[in-house]
Amino acid sequence: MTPETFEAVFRDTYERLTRYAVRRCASPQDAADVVADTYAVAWRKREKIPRGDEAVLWLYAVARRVLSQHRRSGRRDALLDAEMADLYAETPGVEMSVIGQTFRALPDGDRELLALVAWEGLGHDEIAVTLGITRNNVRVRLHRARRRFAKALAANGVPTSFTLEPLGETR
Amino acid sequence: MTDLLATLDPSRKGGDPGAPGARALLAHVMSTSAPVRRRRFLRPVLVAVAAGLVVTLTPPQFVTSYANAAVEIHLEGEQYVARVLDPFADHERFTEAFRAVGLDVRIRPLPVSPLSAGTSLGMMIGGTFDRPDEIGGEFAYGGVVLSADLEPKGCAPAAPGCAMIVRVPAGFPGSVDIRLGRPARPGEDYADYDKALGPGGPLHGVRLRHGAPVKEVRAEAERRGLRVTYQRIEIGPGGGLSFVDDTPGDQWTVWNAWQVREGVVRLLVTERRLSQNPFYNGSAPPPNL
Repeated sequence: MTPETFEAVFRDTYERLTRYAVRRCASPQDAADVVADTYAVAWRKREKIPRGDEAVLWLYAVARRVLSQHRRSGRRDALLDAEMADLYAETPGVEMSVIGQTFRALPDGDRELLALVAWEGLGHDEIAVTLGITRNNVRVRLHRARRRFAKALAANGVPTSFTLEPLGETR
Repeated sequence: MTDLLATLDPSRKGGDPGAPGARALLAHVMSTSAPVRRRRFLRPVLVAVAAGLVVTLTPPQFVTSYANAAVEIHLEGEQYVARVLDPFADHERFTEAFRAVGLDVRIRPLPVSPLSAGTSLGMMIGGTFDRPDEIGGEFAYGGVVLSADLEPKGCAPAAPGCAMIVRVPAGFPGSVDIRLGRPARPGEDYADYDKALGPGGPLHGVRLRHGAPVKEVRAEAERRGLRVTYQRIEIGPGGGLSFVDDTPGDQWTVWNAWQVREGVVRLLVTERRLSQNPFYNGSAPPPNL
């Protein structure tokens, strides 16, 4: 991959990758580290970056590993930190916080799956590529994650329309 | 049900790959080279072991001083002090010199206006540290502040006796990227965009601390033969600023000006007048606005 192609990948994916990091990091500094480290890995392994729409899925997978091993970096770029801080939404109101707390209390795997659907807007095929599992596995795990989330919400007094449908009918 | 989650999205929007911090990140990432493959070195060792020889592995030997046409490095107590002899030399010469004393320090040339040629635009320090020190707001390690400054302090880069001095603690385990200004080629964007209002800058003398109408600043810029572009300032919930291209009205307010490239400036504007300059929140020393 030429430096020009890498720059094009950076331009095409930066918006989505920064959102991915912001959604999973409590502080802008951590989000900046994850974005920086992810692109650093991507540059080192640029020959492996898939072409087209799959590039961003490949980067999500890298970012996920970076997140799991994350330690605050010694490098600080105040400009990038400030740009990252600007991407955070304001804290939602109280009525939303029960849902937020319930969501944060879910097992990591469930949270990641639901986030990939709700926030990154990925379909089953794309999630399968990102997580390196089969499409069928995505379907099963997502069904279970949804069920656990609905149960936890109900326990916290938030009813949902989620019913225990047979697997074949869920999205 | 995932609709419920959509309303909880912690991210308001995605980052702009064209923003200065993002561009600096891309440049930094692409300036790093791939790690050396180890396999080649491993094989002779394995062969030696198989042959029943005793192999002693000695740590790499570093010298404590080094000089080439670009830079001169020597050890002073706990720190390496490097005097840059030729800031525009091939940057590999710097890498090689620092490597000789066991340090990963690189010079990354960035295109700048004549105001910043030969000066440092800051350092990027990489690596993870258990206890990063901070001395006077600067990054330090083992009690030594990492720096790249002109000495004597504030001298003109081209003046005799004036040189950039880089200080790095001996044995520093991280990487250091020094962003060093080199004269921009015609049409190249300046990395020292924030020098427009300072001494020697294209809009030196224009006062923007309390804001000024677009009409006035534009007239002054055009009088000086500059092409003017505009970006509207957006202020995030945390006070962070972002900028979008816009065409302002005459009565909009200019709060800051950047030099984009030779002969081109960018005015940072808001439609309504704000109670204070968003680039200046009472910090000391105040920016040159």
